[in-house]
Amino acid sequence: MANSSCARLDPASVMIKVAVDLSPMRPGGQNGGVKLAILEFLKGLKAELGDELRYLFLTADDTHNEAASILGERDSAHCVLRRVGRGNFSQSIELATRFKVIAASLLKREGVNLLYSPFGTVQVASDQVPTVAMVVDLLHRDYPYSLPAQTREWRELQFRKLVRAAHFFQVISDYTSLRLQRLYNVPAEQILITRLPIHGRLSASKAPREPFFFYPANFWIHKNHETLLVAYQIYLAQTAGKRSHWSLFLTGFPDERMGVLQQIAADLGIAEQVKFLGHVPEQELAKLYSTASCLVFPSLHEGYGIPIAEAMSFGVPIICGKNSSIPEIAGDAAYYEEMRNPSKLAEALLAISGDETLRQKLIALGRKRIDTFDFSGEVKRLAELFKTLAGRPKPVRQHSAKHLDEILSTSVYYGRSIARHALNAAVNVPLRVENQFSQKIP
Amino acid sequence: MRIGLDVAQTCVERHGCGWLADRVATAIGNICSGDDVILYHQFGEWLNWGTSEGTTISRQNVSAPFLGSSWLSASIAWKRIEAGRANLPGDPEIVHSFSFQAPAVGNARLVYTVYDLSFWTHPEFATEANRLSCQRGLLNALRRASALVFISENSRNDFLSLLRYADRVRALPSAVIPPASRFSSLAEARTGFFSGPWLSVGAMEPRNNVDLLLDAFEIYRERSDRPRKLRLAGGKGWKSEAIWKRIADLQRRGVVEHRGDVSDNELERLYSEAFGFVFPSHFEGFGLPVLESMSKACPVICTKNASLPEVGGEAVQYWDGKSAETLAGSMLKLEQDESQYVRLSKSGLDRSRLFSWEKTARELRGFYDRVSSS
Repeated sequence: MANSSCARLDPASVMIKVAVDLSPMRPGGQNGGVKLAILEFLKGLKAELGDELRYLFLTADDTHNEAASILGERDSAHCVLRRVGRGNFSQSIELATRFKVIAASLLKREGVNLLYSPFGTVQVASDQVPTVAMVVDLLHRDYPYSLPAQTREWRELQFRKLVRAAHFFQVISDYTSLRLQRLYNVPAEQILITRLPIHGRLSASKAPREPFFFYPANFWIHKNHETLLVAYQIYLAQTAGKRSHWSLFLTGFPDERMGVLQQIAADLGIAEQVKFLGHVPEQELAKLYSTASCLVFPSLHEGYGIPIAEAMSFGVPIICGKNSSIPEIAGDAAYYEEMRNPSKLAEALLAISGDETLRQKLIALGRKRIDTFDFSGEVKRLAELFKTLAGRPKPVRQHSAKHLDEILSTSVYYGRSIARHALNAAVNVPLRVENQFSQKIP
Repeated sequence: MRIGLDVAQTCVERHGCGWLADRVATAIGNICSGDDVILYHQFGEWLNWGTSEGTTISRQNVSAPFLGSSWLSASIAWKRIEAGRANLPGDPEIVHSFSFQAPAVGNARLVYTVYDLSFWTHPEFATEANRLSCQRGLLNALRRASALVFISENSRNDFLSLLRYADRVRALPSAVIPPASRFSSLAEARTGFFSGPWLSVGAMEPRNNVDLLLDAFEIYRERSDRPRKLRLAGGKGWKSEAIWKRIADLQRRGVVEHRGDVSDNELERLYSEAFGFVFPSHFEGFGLPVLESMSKACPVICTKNASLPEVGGEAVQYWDGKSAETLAGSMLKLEQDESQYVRLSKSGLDRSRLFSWEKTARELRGFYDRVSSS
């Protein structure tokens, strides 16, 4: 990393000195597709704005090097959060205290004129600097079953703060934009929709197609793996003795839930046919897309749905449901079915695997549709927004009674959190410490 | 034999499963005098804040280790059982789950009740939270259960058709053991038309097809010479705002009478008074209201789908399930044909006698023997 010492101002254009809060970024695939999208946007902005743009990254220790790797000469990255070897609770305390102070003083010292919060967090938000926050979904409201109660509470609290702290929202689909307007009364004029067709980062290989269904997704509840496994088991029962079957390949961050799903696959008698590949690097992901015969995408909630764009660009036919943002992305280029009903999903698997003409038709529709997606256009619009906001005078914020509500809900949250931890300590239930996947940085 | 029964759901306001667990536990406690029966008022992840409303049976051979236990102590106990560090209190040989859960049960053999598979076959009729917890319970049961009890043949068929491949892995022993009515069967059937209103029972939610029932009822009102009122009994359900408005409107016009949630005694009276019972449900795991109506000699019109033919047999009037028009037609037909009315009342009452809690309990007890010796 390189620290910029001189901040020369070009009189013709405003220098955009943007602080980017990357502290929520996790190593490997734990953040899901959003991390890839953020990194693509950051690279794209750099290419688009060139010398006009200076990055100041705020990072956590376990991903500091990863973030710093995309920096230019005059950018800088500051490790402001310690995560390695620490529990969630001490992390959240640190976020609310030390982290906040360090970040605020950094922003002031470096003369930052724009704050970008791509993970939609608000710890760094300041009254002095225009703030753009990215909102990928409102899962805690739209599919709360995926999150433990304390995470839901935490996110709700974050969103309430965020809608007041941020001046502009970047969302990744019409669906998310509508939800943000509906659930948090954000006016449409404050929302910029940039989609995530980031398939361009993957390059196709010449390998021939192989007979397998492919589902890349972390093992979160809303990704609906259980129903897929049951459906696939029905598919196997129906192909048994009639024709050769396709396998099922699953990728995703190997967490506890993956173990649960592997057990379910074994209980269903399909362990041999289902391959759990864990988190795969981009090269291998590209190879999987190049060889897969079908993308099965039973997800019940998405903010965008990156695999859909990826599959279309790789010429892979898609099976999916009409849930959340999915139809907006897949358009007419997918085989739609009810993804909560395993019999119907099994019918879709049979239909696609048994009908070459149907596959070719879907592939052609997908290729046609993906040609209309253009990531550089999305980046350009975000760059325009950055330029406009950075040139603006400092925002003036009105303090209102709403702050009382914020203080109240924050103290209630921490009160509950402390009570919960005290209770857990009392009955000697170990808290989950996610340090086995963290790595030390030199 | 030491038999553990899951009565956790009886501790909260009782709906289908909680109520069924209560009756089964009571019946088993009564007939199994040679066995130790252990009632679990806290079960797996179903932990209650209070257990005072739960099922109790005052007999020598029945114990209830979690009765009066706090949420916290139950939670610790079940965590230890889950981790394999403890057995269930009372050290049962058989543990029978009634709450869609399949927790770890130590050395015991777990018998798992499958009510229905509508969370897979008809996900549109389930709330997402319910769909997820039923799915999770059943998938856990594939691994943890030693045997399955289905409440209808239809549920077993659905299970086998959806999990045919999986079933080869363990081929769990299973039995179809239907529940029975809350109410004792009347002594005498009806000898002529009753003057009461039509009755329908069930929560106001999509599965119960309330919209179509109201459509049919409006057609019926127009065509009948002496139209009767429609009485509805059932809680709020979900996705019911639109239906609710409609019911309120019909109630203002004085043609529908909505009773909401009613007590058992009240419900028994409603069946006894009603002219006929209309039940256009899209899907049932069993169809208890049909059985209960038959036990009160009240003629039934219901859909011929899922498990309902197993309950109704030849003793009810089936409606083709297609349109409000045909349902109204069925109602008008019954109103005009007194001999058919009397026949249905008689055959329904006769059929209701085929089901009893004692019979259910005896079949279960026999099945436990089979499971423990397998």
